[in-house]
Amino acid sequence: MTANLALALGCVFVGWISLAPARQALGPMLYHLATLPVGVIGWSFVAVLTSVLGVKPTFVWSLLGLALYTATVAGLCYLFCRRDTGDAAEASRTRVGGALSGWRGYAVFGGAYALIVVALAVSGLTIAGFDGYAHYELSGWYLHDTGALSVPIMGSRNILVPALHMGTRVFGGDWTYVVYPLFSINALALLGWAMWSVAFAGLPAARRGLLTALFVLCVAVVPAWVLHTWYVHSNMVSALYVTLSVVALFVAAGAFDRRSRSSATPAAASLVAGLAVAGLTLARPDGLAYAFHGLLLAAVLHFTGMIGRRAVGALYSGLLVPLVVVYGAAFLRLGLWGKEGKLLGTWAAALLVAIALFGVVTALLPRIRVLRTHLGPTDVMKIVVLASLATIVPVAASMPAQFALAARNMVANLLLKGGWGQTWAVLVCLIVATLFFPLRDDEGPWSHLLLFAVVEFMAIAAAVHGVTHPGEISTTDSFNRIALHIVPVAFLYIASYLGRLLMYPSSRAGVGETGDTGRSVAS
Amino acid sequence: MRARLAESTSDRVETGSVLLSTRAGRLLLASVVCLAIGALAVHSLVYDARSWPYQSIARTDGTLLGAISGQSAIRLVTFYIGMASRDAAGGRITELIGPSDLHMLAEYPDAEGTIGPYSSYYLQQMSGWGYVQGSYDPVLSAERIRRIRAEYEAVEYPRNVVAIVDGHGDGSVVLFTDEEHEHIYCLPGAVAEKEASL
Repeated sequence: MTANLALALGCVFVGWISLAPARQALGPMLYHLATLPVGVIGWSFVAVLTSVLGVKPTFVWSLLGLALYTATVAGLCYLFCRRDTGDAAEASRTRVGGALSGWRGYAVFGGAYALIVVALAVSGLTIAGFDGYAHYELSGWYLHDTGALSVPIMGSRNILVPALHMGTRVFGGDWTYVVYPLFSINALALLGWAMWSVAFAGLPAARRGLLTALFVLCVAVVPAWVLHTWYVHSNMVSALYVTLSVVALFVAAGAFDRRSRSSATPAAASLVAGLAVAGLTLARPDGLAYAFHGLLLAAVLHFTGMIGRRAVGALYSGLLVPLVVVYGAAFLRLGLWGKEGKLLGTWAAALLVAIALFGVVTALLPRIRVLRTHLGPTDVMKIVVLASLATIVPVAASMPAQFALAARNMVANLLLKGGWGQTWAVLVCLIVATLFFPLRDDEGPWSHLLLFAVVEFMAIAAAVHGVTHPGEISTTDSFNRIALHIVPVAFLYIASYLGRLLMYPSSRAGVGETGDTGRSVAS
Repeated sequence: MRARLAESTSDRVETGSVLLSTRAGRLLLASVVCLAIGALAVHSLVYDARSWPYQSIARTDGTLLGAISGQSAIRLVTFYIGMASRDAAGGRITELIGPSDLHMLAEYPDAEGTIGPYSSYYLQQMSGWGYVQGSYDPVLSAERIRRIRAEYEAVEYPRNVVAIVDGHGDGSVVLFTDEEHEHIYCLPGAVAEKEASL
């Protein structure tokens, strides 16, 4: 139990130190809500360090690995925030959010984390499914005993979750269970903050609070969400990373309260988004494919001028530094592994190169003046969606039986047999309804971006599962679990749409998306 | 450039969505969305309480054993062997020696269509890839078992798996069974050498 306490609070502590140089630029909410997911990645560095040096993980080696990670991320934060004008700190003193800045933020969030972690540890609640005890736990056990990366780990599970389980054993524990519900609470907190600050911004406080509570409650009681809150697997941490990447990119783009922004906010928030995409990538064997979810959203934001080149640089630094360290160590030890596992070494190398090339394309596209002149934001999103479909359709046509089977399993699981209750039936109906009654572009840019994020995630998932494994009709089917990752963003989209509906008539007067300031995005 | 989001107002939306052009229409649509989300929350709560389709939530004391103790899958035998071997090894397992066929240990039926009671792959994972098959007789006589149990600490695991702990394990473990093939004994290397002449 104490090992689980140490692991969870240690991750928060590592996150705090790592992001400290960007604290002012991130603002208190994003800084404190990003600490856990950012800190968790540190354990991957411990596994890399022991694997490269050929030593067994001990408390001292773990401290060294975490210190290496902390120094790396803190260095990146310093690099991208050193020219910060400091106006965020000035602004934060003038608003309610300022109550959470400085030591008060550490006290409030630290106290909350500590209370929740102790309660979770004492409760002892967990769900140990086959993947949990036979794969993630044993991979962590193996890492702890040998300190070495292996093909089954890199090819079948990836490093993040096994490294966490290794961490529990380093602290003298046995079963890792406290961090999983903590991931769930962290994701719900991020979602609630995004709903309050973006989706329902501009509404009267009581209505805003009520709607935020209703939506967060609705996500929290989704049967699959309840399952994965306790289930030892990669899905809840992945859902947290997807939510964090979208929220951080929205912070970078100015969707949140713009009074507390500083000149370094876009870069700092993009760096956090990059780290979140890295976390997602390292949490799953197919994570390298899902990295494109955050990268496509960032590409659209950059093309439309909502985040600048420096922010894109920060995003790719946050993403590529952990990936290069982890995969570099894996290639060094294992070569281009094959045969075993879901992800071959050659595929991993190819996807890493594709991610780097995508970064170059993302940086260069806005420089093509013709494109920028003729394409609006929604046009760009439509083109990307069509391009995704254009990529998937030929692949699906080349293996129609497998794709048909995958599609049948996906639909049957989400709507009937996957244990979701009516969640996806309601979500699909509401999303279709929003397409029949679309908002004006000036009313719902963030809504459009959220819908884009949902559609792109599903497109990537369909491609991954259509090509690699069609799955089965079962509650434990891979796609059925992966659908959880996008649930918070899907609900955020519906909330954002609802928020804009309720903004009438102010929206008719030209006030589009507003932050706490009531200022229009257009302004 | 951010302003372009606001600039690109679509005529299609202005003329195509009559419902959104009036306050009443918007409130009607907003009410439908709120009702749907509220109904979904209630339905999910009822579903969680009455039709929970997943594995039940368990309570653990912080151990893997506690986390899986309520489960009955036959494959758990392998995991109990791993945990017991860890006890016998006194920590990290450096070498885990099993008989040429793991089914020579306690007799459990193979589960059809799923993983059977014994898996050398999972034993490899739990022993830092140190699991090897040896050519030795894994059967201990009743007399020897009595003596071993009297001399050393025996830690019982489910499925009749027993860890023999001598207090100074060197990381190596050897697997044995009794004459009835009912129990599996995980002996520290030194104990196995002394008691079973390995």
